[in-house]
Amino acid sequence: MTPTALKAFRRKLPDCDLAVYVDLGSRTVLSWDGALHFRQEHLDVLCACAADLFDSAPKGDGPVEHVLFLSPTGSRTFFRNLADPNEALCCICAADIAVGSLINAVRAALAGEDPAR
Amino acid sequence: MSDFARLKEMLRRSARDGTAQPGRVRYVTWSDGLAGILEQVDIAVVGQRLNFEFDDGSRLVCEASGRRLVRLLAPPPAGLTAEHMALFGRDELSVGDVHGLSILLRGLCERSAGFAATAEPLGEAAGPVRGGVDPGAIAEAAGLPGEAMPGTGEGTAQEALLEGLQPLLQAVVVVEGEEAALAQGEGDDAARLVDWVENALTKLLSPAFPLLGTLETNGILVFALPEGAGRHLMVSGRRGQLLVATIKGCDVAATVDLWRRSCQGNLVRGGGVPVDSVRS
Repeated sequence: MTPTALKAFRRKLPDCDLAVYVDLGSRTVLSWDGALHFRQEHLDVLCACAADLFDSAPKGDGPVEHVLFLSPTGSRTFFRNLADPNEALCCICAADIAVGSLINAVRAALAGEDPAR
Repeated sequence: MSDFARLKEMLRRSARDGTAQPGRVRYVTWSDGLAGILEQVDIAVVGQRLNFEFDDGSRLVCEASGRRLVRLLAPPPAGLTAEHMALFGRDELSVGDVHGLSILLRGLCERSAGFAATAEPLGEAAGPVRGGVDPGAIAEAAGLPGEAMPGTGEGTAQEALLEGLQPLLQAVVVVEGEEAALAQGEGDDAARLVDWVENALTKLLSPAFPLLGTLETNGILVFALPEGAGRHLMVSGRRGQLLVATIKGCDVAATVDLWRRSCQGNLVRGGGVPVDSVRS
């Protein structure tokens, strides 16, 4: 996903503070868009978390599509691009984000883009 | 005791504050007094020095850590047998001391009708604990009635979460520290979950994983498996205790909503699906 696509995605989700598109294999941040300027180290940690989470996911049933991590203070959500399972979209959102809407929005965004090209 | 009841009992322990709650305790029977002492031990997750001043003038000072009675500090109260006096001043108490401790503590409680408890954190002076005695074992050895046993009390947020999920739970593992126990489930469901906890989850439970601290303090992690699997996974944490569960169905949003209602008290905003309608 390009920065433009990420910006458009975030515009539809006001509770999403940061969207980062990453390569899970190389643990590299490919693009990002945020409400604030996030330091590269912060993005790298989020990318590493995504890689660790998908690495740790159960393998027997095929690739896990998404991993949700929520706490009282915020949510971090990780969505694998099923068209290219090495890539994923990571979002930092408000703690009370409507998860169903978020999942639908991410699926639409990932389906509507030619990822990372 | 059913698997589910056992699971709830394990979770009750995580609902405590983790630090002792000192104060004055009045009791009618020795069992209530003993339950009060063991209660203080059971909630001492971090190292605490507990001081019990009984009405008859006896004084008991002990150290508890990791919800275990680790040592009794000298001097012992007056009027003890040599066997019971030998329990004081030891480096660490062990499982073999359970019987002696149960008689000692029961005796102290029988001599009085109340005690004043105070607690102070051990801080950095507290080294790693290898031994110590589970307060539940002391209660059992003393013949404490079931309702007075440490760890029984009002329900917890984690319990409420489990109650909501119960019809959909396939298997549950509880992780406390370095120990994991299968609390519910059997057959392939249980085997798959145990295998995942033992092999894959270790990376996420390593101190190097940046989200571990948040997960352990009231966080939740949900893995959405492919639709064909017909289930999803949840790891829910509270005060260092993790609940790992396989949940029937693919509705991760409903699980998150239930977690919010049970553990966070957050209202589900627009777009959320009422849990009751999903679970019915």
